[in-house]
Amino acid sequence: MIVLGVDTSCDDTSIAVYDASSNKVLSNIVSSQYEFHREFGGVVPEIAARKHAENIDLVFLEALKVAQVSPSDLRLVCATNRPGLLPALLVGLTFAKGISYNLKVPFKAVHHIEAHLFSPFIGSEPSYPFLGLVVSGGHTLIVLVERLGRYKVLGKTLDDAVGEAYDKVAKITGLGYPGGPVIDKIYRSYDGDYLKLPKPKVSGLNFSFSGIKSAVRRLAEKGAPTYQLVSSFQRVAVSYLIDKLKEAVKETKVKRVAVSGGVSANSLLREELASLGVELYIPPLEFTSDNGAMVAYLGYRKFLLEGEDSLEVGALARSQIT
Amino acid sequence: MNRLSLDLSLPEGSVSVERNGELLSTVSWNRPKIHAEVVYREINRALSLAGLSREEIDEVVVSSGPGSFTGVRLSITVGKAFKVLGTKVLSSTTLTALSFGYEALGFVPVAILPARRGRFYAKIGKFQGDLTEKEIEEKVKLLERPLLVFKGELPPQLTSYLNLKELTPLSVKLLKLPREELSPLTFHYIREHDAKPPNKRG
Repeated sequence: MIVLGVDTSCDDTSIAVYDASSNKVLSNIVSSQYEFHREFGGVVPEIAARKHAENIDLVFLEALKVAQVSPSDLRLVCATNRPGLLPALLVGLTFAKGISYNLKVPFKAVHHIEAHLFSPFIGSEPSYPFLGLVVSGGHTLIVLVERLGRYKVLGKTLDDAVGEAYDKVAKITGLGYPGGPVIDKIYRSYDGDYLKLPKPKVSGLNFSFSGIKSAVRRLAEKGAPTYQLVSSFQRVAVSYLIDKLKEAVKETKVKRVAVSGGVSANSLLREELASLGVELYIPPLEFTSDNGAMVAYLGYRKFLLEGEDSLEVGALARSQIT
Repeated sequence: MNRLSLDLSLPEGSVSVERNGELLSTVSWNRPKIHAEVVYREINRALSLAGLSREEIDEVVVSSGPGSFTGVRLSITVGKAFKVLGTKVLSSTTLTALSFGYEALGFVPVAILPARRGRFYAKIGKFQGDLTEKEIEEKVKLLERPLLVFKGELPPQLTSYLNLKELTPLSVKLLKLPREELSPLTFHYIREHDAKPPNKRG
């Protein structure tokens, strides 16, 4: 069964073609909008939506071309409908529903965070239960996945997402947007001492990144060297994520961990995760940021579990994973 | 030739179907927030009322704005979902569709749509843009036999001019447009600067 996956929840226009029969991603095209948002230091929803609408047909045609399939090969269309930037979500959702309508094939709406949770298993099948750590520009949470469709959120950020904190630190220090890759690169080249940054004290498995961000701002204003400052930030942010994950493993006694989202591409986080002593699943780099492949992968499995969705399904800016 | 037209740029969404220039069906709804949810159901309804199937549609015409930014995108995006699967899709601005037909009656039509923040999208001759009520009046008073054609509410300062509230759904008017008024799919947001955050608009 050939499945189409569409994601326009934030600033990446992504469409993938997934062969569910062989569990292989045949194409995963991502049109990134970084250059259009860079001057604003973050994603501007209206600009994101306009770029999605300009590019979505081109991304669709490219995805089919790379996958070497024709539209008539598609048997299921899946699209992210929640949560995300509403005007951006509406473009991918409306386009995907149109493909489903015109081809007369089923449509499945997909929860973006749920798709991230399962992205480390693309090409394989997950074993349950597992702990999912989703770390991206929009989300930071730890979820106990008991089985497909049954989740317990153990902790989430109370303010900024970790990727958002990276972007803000990069903005404070004049490193541009997005912050994650550039800070990680600087960290790799930096070999000096680290500044002392506070590790937030939030009880349980919840997160907070606003305190670290404010500390970075104060130190930047006092003239702290940029490379030292952002490297120190990365060290404490990653250490904080690892501490929480260790706590979650200890609390649940679940030693199978799947880490996903854009920040899962971070090299220090990957190193630290590897030394955790758990059964670890991390997606290949192309499936860390927002992508259509994870939407197709999860959408297909949810379709088997729940059946198709109506074409009248709407988009939701906010939606808890339940 | 069977044609389907669609407008989601305005608060009143509508879909129409025609065969060889004869209008077969029109459906409309007046809840802008549900455009994205109902659009394919309404396309289906319009086709069903026309006694046609999706496969029998040869050409689609969609509105390309100006109007609600989200609505403009939805109109074009639905058009793109037809286009990538091989159907010919064309577009026209909402203002062109709104003003069409009145020139033949001897008037100089001035199309006006609400654009929020005290401004209005207007088409006056070949000009299409967003203007204040005062700016529209300055242009209108230079015209001979102007007819103000509008959707929504007409600015109070302009009610002294001959005016007409257009009740025909825009999708019907899209189908009436001659081919030279139609163009390949494109966006007409007009207020480009509004896409940026308020403190970056310059």
